[in-house]
This record gives sequence, C-alpha cells and structure tokens, in this order.
Amino acid sequence: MKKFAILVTVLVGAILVWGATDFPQWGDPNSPASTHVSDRYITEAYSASHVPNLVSAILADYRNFDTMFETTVVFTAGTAIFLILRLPLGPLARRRNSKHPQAERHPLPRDPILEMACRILFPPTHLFGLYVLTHGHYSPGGGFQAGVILGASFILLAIGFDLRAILARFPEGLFKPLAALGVLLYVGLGVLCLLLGGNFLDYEALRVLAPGISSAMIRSHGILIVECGVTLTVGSVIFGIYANLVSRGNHEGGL
Amino acid sequence: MSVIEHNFIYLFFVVLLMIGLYGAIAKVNLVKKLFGLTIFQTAIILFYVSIGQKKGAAIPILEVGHGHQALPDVVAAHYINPLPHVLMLTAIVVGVATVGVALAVIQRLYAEYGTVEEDEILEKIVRS
Amino acid sequence: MTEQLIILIIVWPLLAGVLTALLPCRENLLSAWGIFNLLACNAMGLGLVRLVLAQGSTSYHISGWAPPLGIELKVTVFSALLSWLISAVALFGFVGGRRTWADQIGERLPQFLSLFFLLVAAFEGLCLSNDAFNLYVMLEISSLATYGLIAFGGGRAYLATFHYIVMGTIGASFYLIGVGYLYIKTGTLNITALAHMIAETELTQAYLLALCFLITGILLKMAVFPLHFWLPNAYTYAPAATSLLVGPLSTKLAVFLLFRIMMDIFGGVLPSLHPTWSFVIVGLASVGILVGTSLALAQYDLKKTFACLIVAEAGYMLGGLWLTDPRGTVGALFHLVNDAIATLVLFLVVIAIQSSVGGKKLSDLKGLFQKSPLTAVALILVAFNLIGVPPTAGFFSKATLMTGAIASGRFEFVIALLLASLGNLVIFFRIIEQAYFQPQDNSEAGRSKDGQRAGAFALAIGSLLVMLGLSAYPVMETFIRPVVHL
Repeated sequence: MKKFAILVTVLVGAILVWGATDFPQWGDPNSPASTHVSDRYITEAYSASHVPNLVSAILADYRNFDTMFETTVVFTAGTAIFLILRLPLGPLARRRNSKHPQAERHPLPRDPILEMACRILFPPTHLFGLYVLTHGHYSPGGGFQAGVILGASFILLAIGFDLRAILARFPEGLFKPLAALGVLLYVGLGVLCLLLGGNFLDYEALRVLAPGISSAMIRSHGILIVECGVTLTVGSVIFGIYANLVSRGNHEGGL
Repeated sequence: MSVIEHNFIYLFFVVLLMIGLYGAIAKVNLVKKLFGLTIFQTAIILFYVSIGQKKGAAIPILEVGHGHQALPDVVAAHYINPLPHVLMLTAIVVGVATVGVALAVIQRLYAEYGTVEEDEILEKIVRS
Repeated sequence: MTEQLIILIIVWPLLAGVLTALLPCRENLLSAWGIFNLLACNAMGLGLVRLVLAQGSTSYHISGWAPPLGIELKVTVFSALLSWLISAVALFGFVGGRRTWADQIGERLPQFLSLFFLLVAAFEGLCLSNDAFNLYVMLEISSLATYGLIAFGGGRAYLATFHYIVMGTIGASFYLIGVGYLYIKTGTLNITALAHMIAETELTQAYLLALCFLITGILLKMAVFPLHFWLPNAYTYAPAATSLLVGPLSTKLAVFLLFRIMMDIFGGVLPSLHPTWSFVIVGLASVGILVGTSLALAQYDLKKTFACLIVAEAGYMLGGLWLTDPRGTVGALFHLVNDAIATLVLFLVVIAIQSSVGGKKLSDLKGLFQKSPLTAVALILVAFNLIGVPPTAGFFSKATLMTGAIASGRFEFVIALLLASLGNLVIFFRIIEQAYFQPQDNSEAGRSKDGQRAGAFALAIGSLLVMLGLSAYPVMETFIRPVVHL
C-alpha cells in the first residue's frame, strides 16, 4: 500500500508541477486572475455598498449565495454530527450501546485558578466576538470569524469548568434552534427580497421598507443582517460540535 | 526553469499536497489518515490564496473613516485580489465541517471495534 | 414571477430542511410535512420545464448582480428535466421509505429528514448553478449530508462512511484544484465566461491539467473503476430510506457535472481533444462496466448486488459521454434519466422483498412469487430495463449508446455493453429462479399484505420505465439533443 501511495503521490505532484510551468508570474498585477473580475470588485465595491472591507463586501453582497450555502454547510455538519453521535434512547440504541464503554463519572478536581482565569477571560472574548461581527465592515472580520470566537468563548468555559455546568446554562434545547435560526435569518432575508419584487438576496428590493435610504446604505445594512445570521449559526454549531465530540454523544462528561 | 525562478511558491503548495495525499492514502491509523486529508485541503487553500498576491500591494481593506464619504480613485494594483480569500473562507469552513463529521465517525468506530487501526478493524469484520 | 422558479426550487427544500430540524418527532406530522414540501418541489420542477420549453434557456442573476460579478443560475431543457427528476425521485423515495422509519430511524427522524431535504436542495443547486465554485459548494453540501445519512446506519456503515469521506474529500479537492488552475489562467469563475475564454486561447498545459483534475475529481464521486471502492459498502449498509435518495441521484448528478464541464466549459475545444482522451477514457469505462458486473455477480446480498450494478452503470455513462459521435452523449444522458428511475425501483424492490420474506440475501428469496407477486413482477420489470429489453427505457438507452459506439469505432465499448447485458441476465435469472421456481419452505403460505403494498408501489414507479421507453425518441429530441453541441 505504501509503495502504491508513493507512486500515486509522486505522479500527482509531477503532473501538478508540469501544469504550473505556464502560470503567470507570481505577484504580477496584470495576470488574468488579477485583472478581469477582481479589478471591478476593488474599484466598484465601496461605491456600491459603503463597506471598506472588500472581502466582506464580496462575501455578503456579490457572492452571498455561496455564503448562504456555506452557512448551510455548517448547519448540516452540526446536524450530521448530532445524528451520528447522539444515539437515540430506543431499543435500537440499547443494541448499539452494548459495546459502548460506560461513561466514567469520576469527579473532576476543581481548580480555582483555572476557573477564575476562565471567568475573567470569558466576557472580553465574547465582547471581542461581537466586535469582530459588527466591525467586520471596516477591519478584518465578519460573520464566520465572529461565530468561531463566540463558540470558542463557550468552549473555554467548558474546558475550565465542567461540560455539564455549561450545558446547564447553554443547553442543547437552546443551541440547536439558534443554529437553525441563523440560517433562517439568512434565507429569510433572501425570500423577503423576493417577495418585495427583486431577485433573491437582492438588497435593492429592501429599499421600500426604509424610504429615503440610499442604495449603498441598504446594502451595508443587508450585509450586516446576513453576517448576524452567519454568526448565530456558526457560534452555536461550533459549541454543539464540541459538546458532542468531547462527551462521545452522551453529554455526561468531557475534558 | 521558469517555475523555480518566478513561481517557486507553487512548488511549496505541491510538496504540501503530496505529503497530505500520501498520509491520506498510505496511513493505516484512521486519525492519521484524517490528518493527511486536512494537510491536503490546507495545501489547496494556500494555493488559492497565493493566486491573489500582487507585488507591493496592501490587504483588501480600503482606508476610510466612518463618515461614509466617497473615496478618491482606488487603484486596483494597490490592493491584493480579494476574490480568492472569499472563496477560501468557504473552503476552510467546508474543511472544518468534514473534519468534524469524520471525527464523529471515528469515535463511533472506536466504540464499536475498540481500535482505530484500519487493518485491525477489517480483521474484526472478517472474523464476525 | 415564473423566472423566480429557478431559485425557489433550490430555496424551498433548503428552508424545509432547516425547519424540519425544529419539528417534534411525530411520524404522521413529519410524513405529511415532507410530502407537502416535495409535492411543491415537483410542481416547481414541472413549472420550470414548461418555462424552458416556452422560452428557451434562461439565466437568473442572484442578488441582482450580473455575471461575472455575481453568481448566475442557468436552466436549459435538460437541466429543467433533471431538476424535476430530482424532486420526483425524492418524493417517491420519501414515500417508499416511510415503512422503514420506525425500525431503522426511530427518535432521530426530524434530524434525518432535515439532512434529506438539505440533500435535495444541494442536488437542485448542483443541477442549476452556472458558477464553477458554487458547484463545489453544492457538491460538498451533498457530500456532508450523505455522510450523515449513511453513517446513521450503524455497524459496518461507519467504516464505509469513513472510506467515503476520504475518497469524497479527495475527489472534491481535485475538483477545486482544477477550478483553481482555470481561475489562475482566466480570472473568472462563471461557466459561460470560462467557455468563451477557453475557446479563444490555445490549450496549454494548465488547461489540460485543469481538465484532467476536474475529471478525476468527478470520477471519484461517480465511483467509476478504479475509484469505485467506496460505493458498494456505503450504499449497502446505509439505512433503506437513505439509499432511496442517494442511490438514484448521487452518482448520476456527478455524471451531469462531468457533462457540463465537457460541454459547457471545454465544448469548443472538445473535438481537438477527442482522439487520445476518448481512447483512454472509453477504454477505462469499458473495463469499469465489466468490473462492476463481475462484482455484482459475486454477491449474495441483494442490496450489495444492486450497489455493484451502480458501478457498472456509471461506466456506461462515462463511456457514452466520451464517444466522439454525438449519439453517445445523447445515449449517456438518456441513460442518466433511465438509470435514476431504475435504481429507485431496485431499492424499492429490496424494501418490498424485505417486507415480504424478511431477508435480503439470495437464499431468503424462496417463495417470493407466492408471497408477493407484485414485488416479483416489479423485479422482473426492472430486470428487463437493466438487461435492455424493449419496450423499457433501458433498451433505447443501450441502443443509442451502441449506435454511437459503432459510429465512433469503439468496438470494445459495444462488447462491454453486450457482456454487461449478459451479466445482468445471469444475475436476475438467479434471483428470479430463487423467487419463482423454489417453493417456499415455511408453512406460512399465502400473500403478505405488507409486501404486496410495497410491491405495488415499486411496480407503479417501475411502470415509469416503460412510459419513458415508449416516449424515448420524443424525450431525446426535445430535452437532450438541444444541449449536445457536438
């Protein structure tokens, strides 16, 4: 198997290098990748949506269909992991669970220094996550980054304290609907644009809701709403994946 | 060769890709296979991000205050190409999702067979 | 309003999928909710077909931005037919799989159905999108949902899912490398724009390599020999309700993606590629057909036999697409439609057999004809379709493929097709011999009502194969010929 793998790998690598011989020079501002479409993104995006962070502008305005499905990917992964790990409690589960090692309920030693450190770190991390979301228009950031930071703040607490204690405050019954709510917010905005007469996710159509607003500002607000939806889903799903993975599905204990 | 002179960055990406592909195919331990897969996906992400580079250009965030004033002319050559970054945000998220699902499957495999080595699992399947 | 159908047929199942995860686990509620949503998708699919037949190919600019700035959806006659086919197969698979819910899925039904609908949305998106990177995202959503749906089967499904994850991710990543190479040479991701640029420049190494990686990635998803190892186990150990949706559609949509890359991106330069590439790929496909059929012959479990047959069918379509004569492509696309319905009927028959005689190994089939004659008739009907007996659609697709192969001079493909028909004949004769000629050896004589009902449903869907066959040439002329620009 190893010889076959080496052969395949060397073959693939050689073909890739051969294909790269007629690439344009790296860093050339006149290469095709940097001139056809991306020029227009750089020069037109700010006047279209008043969002200086061009990556956020493209992500949530020009290519927001992709981002909607990216959020769906996160939701799908959370649901799939839930399906795989959280075994149902019916007779089928008892048959499957028979080989499952019993969850060891050893009491975790409580470390006051760790707990205090996590307690101090949690609010600033949470706040930083919200800052990254809202300031994503002007600095590096956006929905996904904010969602990951928010999820990480909960994971920090779960590591410092006990998983069960955090699940008591942020239970499955809360983070599962929150994840769905994030995607619904995104898709709902798109459907709203449809109902108001424009194309799907065409923020221009929302101008009837706020008369007097300029086209660029409505796009800026549309981008923010969409990023909020993304943050909700990503934050909840990241914590949900952690809770399911670390406790092997039974939410009893963890790291 | 022109590749080594101007585009050596692509050689790095190819080497990383080869390491990841070898790990995904040749390793018997399922977790190591997953690591190989992750390295493989990371190599592709680096490839895309390196496409967008422009010599001497700044990150694609325009320097404007919060007053929503109109900007003076933006020269495209002064900012790197933002499109590959956007595409790779999606690819990173997809990669994370795949790793999550794969880890869940590995956990179930360990609970079922007691090992994460592929050859031992296949032996147990054949025996049962 | 009607042009919004293009986006609605993707967004409706997406919304349904997200909302389903919030619903309580009540079988009747979920059943009614699912049928309602899938009927709506079917109505939208039919509306889309009518729209395209009236207006011709339409494109839709999402978020109001025209390509190449924004993402575009494009519908042609064949993709409209395919998007309707996806919703029809989903509906019939949903209805046919309901009897297995209590047994195999239990409490997790809302999340299972959520992944089911998300998969339908991803398939519709794969069919209609006109942006190369958007196609990658749709491919990955469909893969992730499939991983979850298959792994839920438990037991041996876990290892099968892990192999599928590794091979599927490598496949999707190869596709992404191909798109990256195309992007670095052309600077655009929109498929129409890519086609213009490729037709105008000469094909240097980067373009050829991009095509090579795009094809290899899709071959991994299509499960063509020699990259087929993940498919038989994954489809066998999946829950029955999963294989009803994933089996008919997953590999066929990969074939459609391959067709789009060949025709829509590289269409202008295809004739120059044809001699060498056609020789290699058609040869590979012929070997793949034989390997798939032999694998199927060696199996004793019915579900695994049918899963191996899917590998053989993938070979038909791959070879047909790469024949130099356009009739090969027409035959391959017609076979796509035919095979989607046939695979659905095959898996429905497996469920019906399990309801009638309680097992799905070859040895369990004794007395099937007495217990549930409708199931046996459905089995015979789909056997005729796979062997290629008129008037089922299988005959017409094989005939068109063979005409195209003879016209292109690829006789190895003709021989492979004939040998595959022979192999299918042997496989199904073995099955029917057990079902009809062996008397049942337990004292439970008489019909099984459950099995009869399941068999009746399978037979009803199987009759679609005959209807498709009787209308083969009109379908090929209206829906397939216009998109084949060879």
